[in-house]
Amino acid sequence: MGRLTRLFSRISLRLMLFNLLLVFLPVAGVLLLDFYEQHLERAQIQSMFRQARLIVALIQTDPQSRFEKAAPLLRQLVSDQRFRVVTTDGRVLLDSGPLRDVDQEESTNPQKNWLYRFGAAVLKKPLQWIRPVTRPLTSSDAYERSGVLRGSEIQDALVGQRGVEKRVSSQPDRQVMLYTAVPVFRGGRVAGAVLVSQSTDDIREELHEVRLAVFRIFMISVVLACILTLMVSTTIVQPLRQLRKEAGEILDRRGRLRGRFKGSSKHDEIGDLARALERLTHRVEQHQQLAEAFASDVSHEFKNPLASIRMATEMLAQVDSPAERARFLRVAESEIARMENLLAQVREITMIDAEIQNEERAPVDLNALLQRIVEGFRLRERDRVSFDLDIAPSSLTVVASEDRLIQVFENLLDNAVSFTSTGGHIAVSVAHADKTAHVSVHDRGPGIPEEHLGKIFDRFFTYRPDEQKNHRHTGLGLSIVKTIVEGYGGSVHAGNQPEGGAVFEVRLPAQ
Amino acid sequence: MASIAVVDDEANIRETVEFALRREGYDVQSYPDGLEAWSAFQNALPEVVILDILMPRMDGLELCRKLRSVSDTVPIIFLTSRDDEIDRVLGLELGADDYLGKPFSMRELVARVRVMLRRAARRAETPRDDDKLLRVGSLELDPARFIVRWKGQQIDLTVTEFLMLQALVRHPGHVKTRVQLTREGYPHDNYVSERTIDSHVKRIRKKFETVEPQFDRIDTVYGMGYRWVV
Repeated sequence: MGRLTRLFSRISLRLMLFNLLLVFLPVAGVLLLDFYEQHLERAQIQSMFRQARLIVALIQTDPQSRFEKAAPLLRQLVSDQRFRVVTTDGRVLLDSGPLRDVDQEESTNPQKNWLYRFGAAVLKKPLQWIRPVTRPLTSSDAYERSGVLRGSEIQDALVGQRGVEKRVSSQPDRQVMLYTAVPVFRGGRVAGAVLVSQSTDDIREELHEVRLAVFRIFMISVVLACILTLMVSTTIVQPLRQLRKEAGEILDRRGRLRGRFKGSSKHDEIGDLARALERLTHRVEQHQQLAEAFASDVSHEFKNPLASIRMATEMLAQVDSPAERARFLRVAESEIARMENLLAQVREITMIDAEIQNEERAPVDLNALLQRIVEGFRLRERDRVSFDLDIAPSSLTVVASEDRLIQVFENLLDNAVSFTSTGGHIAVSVAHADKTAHVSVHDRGPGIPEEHLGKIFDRFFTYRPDEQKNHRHTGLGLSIVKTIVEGYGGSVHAGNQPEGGAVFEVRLPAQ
Repeated sequence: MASIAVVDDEANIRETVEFALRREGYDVQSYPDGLEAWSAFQNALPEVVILDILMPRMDGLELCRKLRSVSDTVPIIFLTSRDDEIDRVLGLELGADDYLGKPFSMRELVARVRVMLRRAARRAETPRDDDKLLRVGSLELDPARFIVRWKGQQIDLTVTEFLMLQALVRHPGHVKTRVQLTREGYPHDNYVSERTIDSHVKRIRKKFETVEPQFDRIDTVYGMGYRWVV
């Protein structure tokens, strides 16, 4: 049961139905055969009328002798038609004799073919349902046996018209017989009728052959449709099912990412989907690891100030000298301030990602902005550090939130200042190239050790070897810079200058 | 008086620890990173080393490795803010003697230092049978020297682990709750999480399993705590 439902998934089933529907089109062709049959029948009736008129012309002057002379000849020429001359009261005057069963020895009757019988058994009911019900035919047996013929075709002929009638014989093969009658006029009055009868076996045989051929094609198509469906099912449904299975196993019960999509080497759309999902899970995995590492980093970063505060308060309870008490109070206060600063920055960095896309953006003149920021730093570091600003020759506009840009450049300048000793110099330059704004901040500090270049923008990464830990630096400033700049589709790079000192370059898409 | 080295890049922590230990009468030297400490140790090894893990230039793990290469016995206490480092620190890889998770209480640190020094001193002495020697089945606890033997083989437990095991063994078959074990393992600290107790018990079991792989004497009583099975 499981295997069967697996084989016929909903998609497989739909494909199968679709394929089979195409296959059933030939069946509609079988219905068209009815028109073909009618056409053949009309042609045969026309031919019979021609024969009848020939007989009429023959017997016009001397019926008896001419007919008798002509009859053997006609029967030799036309073996499958029977001619009879009937008087006005229906008596048979002349008869060319009953038809011989010419075709009986031929055993190629398609109706005897097993495939035909199978098809007929299967399709008889549905076809009867589709096709209009035809009037049942009367039997020709009684008609043939009686000496007086009063069929409707004779009646028609006797009033001067052509008559046609179809009857079925109960003979072994249930032949369908066609009867045509034309009037014989003598002296302006109907003197009798010529009746021509012929079996429709040839027509039917031909139709049966066509039906058999159609049915044969139909059967082959059904088999082909099944094979095609199976193939499609294995190339579409199986990979999809595999993906669904992988998707189901990818999260554990608590919703944590456990496994990952294995991808696919297939070159079709499902292969593309599998690869896209693989990339997606990879990204989600990275994000999850980042989030977990961040949580662990945050808790780690909070433990140091907390440890200091705890020890300081413990000491406060133990020491008596005012100088010592003041010292531990200072420790506690500075560590509390550090925690507050840390908290604010952590909050900041977690919000940037979410908020930067929805913040209002406006064109910002970078030259003017950096002039303002550098002016502020000149005032702040009046006696310590000098600043040099080299702005772009033409006006340079970046579409962004001005507050965010201020945050970026203030953080970079703060970082540069913290590595610059008294009397040092910091150079800021703004340039424009290829629709990109380049802003670089260059200090003359110790530079960044080669092994730290890759980690310098990592969250909580700090490297200040020649300095006491300064609590203003949380290790988040540069990662905030990176997060904002990347949020605007830009990039930030850190490096060392050959003449010494570190350089940070921000690239932002410019207008 | 005993010499103690404090190595931490956090100035406030380093200075407060130094101050507190000096008040206890110890001779304390403090260093902001492993490199400075290591160059100072070239002249004379301290009697106890208190180490932070994350430090610039040379971190605590590397300093510990270097220390162990010159001395197997100098007691090393780690100050850590990362729980995931503890197993490495206490494992065979580094062979530290104990650790305190930040934020720790100063009293706890002082108590640890005292125990470490006492243990080192007793180790140097010739072993003598003590009245307080505790024997339960194949287990032998020597509280004076902080030595544990299982089926005659010595097991190196940290001070915390020793205190917790002692609490379990003192009343064999009785369940000790995590709160009780916390009080025993950290007599001067009220801020240790109960989860820490679980990892301590896990480590104690592991250490016994190195002597006897089928060791199953410490039983977890779900919803309550642990007990020593006789």
